[in-house]
Amino acid sequence: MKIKTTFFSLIIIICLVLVSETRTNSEGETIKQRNNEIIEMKHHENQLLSLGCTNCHTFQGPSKKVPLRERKKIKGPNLWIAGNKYQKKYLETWLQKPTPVRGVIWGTMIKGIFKHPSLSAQKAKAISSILVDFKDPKIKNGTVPKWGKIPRRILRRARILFQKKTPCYSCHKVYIRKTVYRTPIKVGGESAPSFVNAGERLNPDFIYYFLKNPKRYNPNGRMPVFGDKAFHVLSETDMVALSTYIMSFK
Amino acid sequence: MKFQISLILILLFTFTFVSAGLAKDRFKETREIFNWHCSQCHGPLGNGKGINNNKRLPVSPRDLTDGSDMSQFSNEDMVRTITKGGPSNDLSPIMPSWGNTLSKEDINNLVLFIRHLCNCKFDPKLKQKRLEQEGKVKP
Repeated sequence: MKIKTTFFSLIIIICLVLVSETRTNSEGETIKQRNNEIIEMKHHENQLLSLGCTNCHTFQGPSKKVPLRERKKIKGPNLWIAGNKYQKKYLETWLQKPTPVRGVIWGTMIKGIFKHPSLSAQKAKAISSILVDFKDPKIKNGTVPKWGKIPRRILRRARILFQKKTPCYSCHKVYIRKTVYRTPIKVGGESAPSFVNAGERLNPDFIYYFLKNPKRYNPNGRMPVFGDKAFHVLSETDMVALSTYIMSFK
Repeated sequence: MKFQISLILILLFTFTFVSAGLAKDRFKETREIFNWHCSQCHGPLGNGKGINNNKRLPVSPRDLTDGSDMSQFSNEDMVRTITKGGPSNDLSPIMPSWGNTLSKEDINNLVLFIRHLCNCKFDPKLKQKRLEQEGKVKP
């Protein structure tokens, strides 16, 4: 009898020890993972710091709304959603040969070109792989469906919106085929980023979420807010149509 | 009696100075709003020669300094066009709606600022003339 009880108690103790060990192991692993992540983040930060990106750009968001007087102090765009916004290939090529997206110096109304420092091919690759990791968890991939061939009804809807109802081309530069001209012509203003190569630069999901909630992604911008319930300017299907249409510019 | 009169006078003076200061601040703020949002098309001076104005635009932005042209719009018309966009007042849709971006106070101040730019007042006869020319009202 005594032997049986001691045997059972031994087995129970061994089980308990095993369970506790597995727990400690799993906790240890998670701690290790976290440590690795923190080390990686610090490494990324150091790389960004060493190149001087943090002098003009910020990488934490969502950015707060700043009163108009203090907006001149902001030197560059906040890149906390760079992973959602830009394509990796575009970032790599752009960092090697930075060409401005708008005809105005960023944050001002002065015509001119701001010279962004260029990087070597290796550094550009490294920095773009870091920038792609900056993502907003609220942006879900796949909200705008990827069509092989865009349906006609969506193209028609987007074209009417883009050219007639809310003429985006009054500020955004773009090549469009107008009724009078046979070939596409260059139209548009200078103050906003151009859509000439938007299909190679942006992601469709970002455009959709930007149109839906511009106060979160660009609180200090010049663009008017569309898609609010007060005036029913843009519905959800409109936003999907517009983002697919903008992505078709290549 | 003298003391009371002097007190009232001092109070009046302070009130006028404070209100004038507040009005100046508001004027500065509205000018900044104009420079940030409106000057893209209407130009920093409001003469319609902004950066986005080029030959390819179907309708050129309105010259806000032209008094004879601007006096056809009442203050309510201007508030409507700014909040709901050009089509709400039978104008071009290139003028977007700013009702979601700017507050009502800001828009009212902007209308006063535009009145200051054009140095004009609303003339209902001119509005009637325009509507008759466009065929919206029978003469």
